[in-house]
Amino acid sequence: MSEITLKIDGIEIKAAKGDTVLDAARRAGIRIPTLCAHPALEPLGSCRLCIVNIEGMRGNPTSCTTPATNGMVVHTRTEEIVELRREIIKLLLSNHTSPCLVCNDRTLCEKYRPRPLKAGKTTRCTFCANRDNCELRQLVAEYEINDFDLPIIYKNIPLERRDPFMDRDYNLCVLCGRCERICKKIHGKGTLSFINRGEDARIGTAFGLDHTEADCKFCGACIDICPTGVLADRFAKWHGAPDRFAETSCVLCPLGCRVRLSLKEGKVLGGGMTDLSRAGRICALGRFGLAQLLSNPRRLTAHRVRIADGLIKTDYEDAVSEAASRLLPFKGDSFALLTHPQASREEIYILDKFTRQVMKSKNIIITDAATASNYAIPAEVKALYMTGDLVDTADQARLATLDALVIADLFPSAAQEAAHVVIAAAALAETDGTFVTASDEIRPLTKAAVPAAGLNPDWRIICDIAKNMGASDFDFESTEQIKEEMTATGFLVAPGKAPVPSPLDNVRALPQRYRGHLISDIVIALRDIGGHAKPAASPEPAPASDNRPFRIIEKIEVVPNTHITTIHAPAIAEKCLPGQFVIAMVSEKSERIPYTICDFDREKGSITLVTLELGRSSRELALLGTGDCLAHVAGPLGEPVEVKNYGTVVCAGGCYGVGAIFPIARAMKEAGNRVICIEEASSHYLLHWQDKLSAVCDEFLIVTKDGSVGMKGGIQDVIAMLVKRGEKIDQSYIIGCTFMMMLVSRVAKELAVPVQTAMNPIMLDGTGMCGACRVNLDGEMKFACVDGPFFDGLKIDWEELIKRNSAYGMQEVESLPQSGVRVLTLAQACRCENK
Amino acid sequence: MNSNGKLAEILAQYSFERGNLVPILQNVQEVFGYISRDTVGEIANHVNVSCSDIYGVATFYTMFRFKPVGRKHINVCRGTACHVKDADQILDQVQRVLGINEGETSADGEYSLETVACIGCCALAPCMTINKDVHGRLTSKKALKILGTAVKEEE
Ligand code: SF4
Ligand code: SF4
Ligand code: SF4
Ligand code: FES
Ligand code: FES
Repeated sequence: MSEITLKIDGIEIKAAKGDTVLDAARRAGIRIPTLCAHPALEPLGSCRLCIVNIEGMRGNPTSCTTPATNGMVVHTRTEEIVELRREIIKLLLSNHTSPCLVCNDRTLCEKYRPRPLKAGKTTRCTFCANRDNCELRQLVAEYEINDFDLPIIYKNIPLERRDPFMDRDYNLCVLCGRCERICKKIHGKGTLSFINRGEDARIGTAFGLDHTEADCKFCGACIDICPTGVLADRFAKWHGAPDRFAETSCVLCPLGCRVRLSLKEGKVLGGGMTDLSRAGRICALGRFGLAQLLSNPRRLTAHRVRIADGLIKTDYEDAVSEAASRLLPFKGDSFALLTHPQASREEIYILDKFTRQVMKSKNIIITDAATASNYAIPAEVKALYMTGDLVDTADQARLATLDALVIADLFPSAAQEAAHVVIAAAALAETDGTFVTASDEIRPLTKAAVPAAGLNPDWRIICDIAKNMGASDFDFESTEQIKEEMTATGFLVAPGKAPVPSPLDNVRALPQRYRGHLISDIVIALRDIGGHAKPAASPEPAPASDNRPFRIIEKIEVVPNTHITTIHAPAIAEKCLPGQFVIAMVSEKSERIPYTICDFDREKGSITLVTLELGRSSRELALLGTGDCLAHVAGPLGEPVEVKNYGTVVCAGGCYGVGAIFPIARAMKEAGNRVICIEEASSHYLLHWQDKLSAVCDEFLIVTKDGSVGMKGGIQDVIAMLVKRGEKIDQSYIIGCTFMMMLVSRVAKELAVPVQTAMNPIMLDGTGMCGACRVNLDGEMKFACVDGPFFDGLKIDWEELIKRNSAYGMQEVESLPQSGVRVLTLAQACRCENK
Repeated sequence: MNSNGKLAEILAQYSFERGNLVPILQNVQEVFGYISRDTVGEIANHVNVSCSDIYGVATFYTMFRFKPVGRKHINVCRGTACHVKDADQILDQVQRVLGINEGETSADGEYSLETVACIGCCALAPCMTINKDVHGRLTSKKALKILGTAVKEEE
């Protein structure tokens, strides 16, 4: 390497010819902030964050594009440079939805909400799946930015979630262009490009097509390289940042690509490329499929043995000994073992050894993974061991005639109904070994994931069965020991044929089966691939006189994620009082979920519900449109607020609470109170219903977390301000997220302001009502569904409540649907046609 | 000659270079009136770049359109002179009457609506054109009347 010497920040640095100034600085461990630059990409020089001062050069060149030359003198952190960088960051932030970055309550918020909330659209960091990894947040911290100079421009670009595997929210895009450059680098012709110009410039596909129609390979590189939360892996997104990475090989097809697994708490979140280059590319199964096969709700977790007509659960040892005694009488060619090529060489060796040496049979068959299961059981076979769903469907009836059938598998199959023993197995990243690829290269498989308790890999299962039969040569403790023996015996596993066309180049050529199972039955999102049907022709809008029960008369997304739905429900409208809620089922199969009533009209027989899209059930409601019907709505439920003349009443709401305080404020005003309404929002683009609220109060105040409108801060700050100016508050109703109500209650306690807080139904989303709605009121247990929703905020044990709410977190994440959202309603269908 | 044939004829005039993209797009728009999904696919193959890149280049220039123009193509001027005379109100009115937004074509293919920076009739501000006819000194009412007759004529 021919060397040059330059001086950066007073330090002599030796660099290679061809290095940029940025490269040279990095060699010396000097940090220069970057955004558009990425080690895997050619520099673009567009974000200008990496500017430096170079003696003798005019302007402030971008270090990522400026070649280092001999004798150069560079300053990376002059006052001027730092100030310019702060300006650049602030400019970026004005095009990014991050009011949380300058929120006064940020530290507490992140303490009480250790994981971001699983919202539909990302309107702030708290709703951003990328929160723990965000490069913008790092920049903001590094450059100590506590205020915005420019208000955030929320572009209101529709959320893109029709594709399999990924969600895209371009409202967060900072146009660094990393995604489109990596896509081109890896695939030649890319799926993504810069489109439009000026203010409308964004990243997208031709004509706004879905990625499935825009030749996307679903390699996920764009997701992994994006510095912000625009692009997200739908399956992994709410699990937070991985705590570990491990390199392994994918065995789903004979290419055996290198994959970098990301893991959290022993669970595989996703695969990724070990090298973001054309040579390092992987297919959708390597990127998303491996994780979804392993952490799949359909995984077998229990072993079963046949007792009379039924299969009953048992433990591993019992299943092994049952398998051994069932198979033992069939030594010789009446035994056959059927396995698949998506296994390690060690596994294939040990299965082969078991068949030949213990069972004295020559019938060891490795099926062809690419085609459907294709083994026809010969007439002589009376006992069969198989590691999957590997028998021809036409031959399924034959299974019932076997004297012994033992199946080791990961997923249920019809064949298992005829089995005598079913052993749930560990596989893929749950075990190790080696794999021979189509190019006859031997690649390591790494055990990185922790299988569920009691699950063992195929090699161990077969060793245990052999030992149980009394065989002596199966005392292996590791695949390493198996490999030694295999090598010594000269055993060879023939490489498979490289698939044509390659799944790397064509998403419609992905491997179809794993262990004989159709992968698309397990990784549901795969069904969205392949010339998928456009949403069905829009149904004719129902006539206005339509009186079907629970018909949606009007449905609007008033601000991102906040849906206001007016429903025909005369019986509820007739009786309902301020502060009450309903329990609704969106479809016959949905859970029963409480929804807040934010308005009602007795004459028209309608009630209006407000929901924040934050999880599975609220998403179901969010995706309905005008004219659709809910399956069922029950109510009104809960204790209404006590309406009387208190004197001065504060009604304050944030998020869904903005709508929820409306009927209360209206009733309090009608009862002769002086009503002060406070609306809190993270930023100006989340404010709504200002007119409606203003009309039912004497004073209307706005407070935003980023200070873009009204006071900067939260409701608690407004209440403190009111008290300070001498206002005597006789009663207050506070509705919003649990965290906000906690902050308000703390301040109210100090100032001796009475507060009634509403237990937040959306916080119980996905858990139903029972138990989850327990509230500890000065040591007394209350239930939100019967005693609530309002409770004295000064008495609530908030810490405990927040802890309980987050305890359901992971279950909810796992229940989120994985397929692309195909919206069928009128309103949504036409919105998709917008560019 | 069918449209595939016409497109092939256009493409045949240009070598397979990225640099020819804009002239190709211009030529296609002249012949077909707009740039369709199918033509983008063909052009992409011809110059060997992705569809999204073609679309990216095309959307960078304001002159290209991606939906066929209506039989009556309306341009509302938003030039400075028209702007100060409340061209936005005229645009609102036209959008309301036709039920389409700027950049759209009505479902029956009758109308399409665009805005332009200046028609060159500032003396007549605010103004709009319907195909080749200029209508000046507009008010919301007048715009309604003009469109009303246009709507009627065709019935
Ligand atoms: S997933 Fe891969 S192919 Fe698809 S857009 Fe992203 S980088 Fe391109
Ligand atoms: S989507 Fe992400 S990677 Fe792509 S330009 Fe936007 S911020 Fe950059
Ligand atoms: S092509 Fe896909 S399935 Fe095959 S080895 Fe590579 S990542 Fe795995
Ligand atoms: S990192 Fe150098 S200009 Fe963006
Ligand atoms: S930091 Fe979370 S709301 Fe402010």
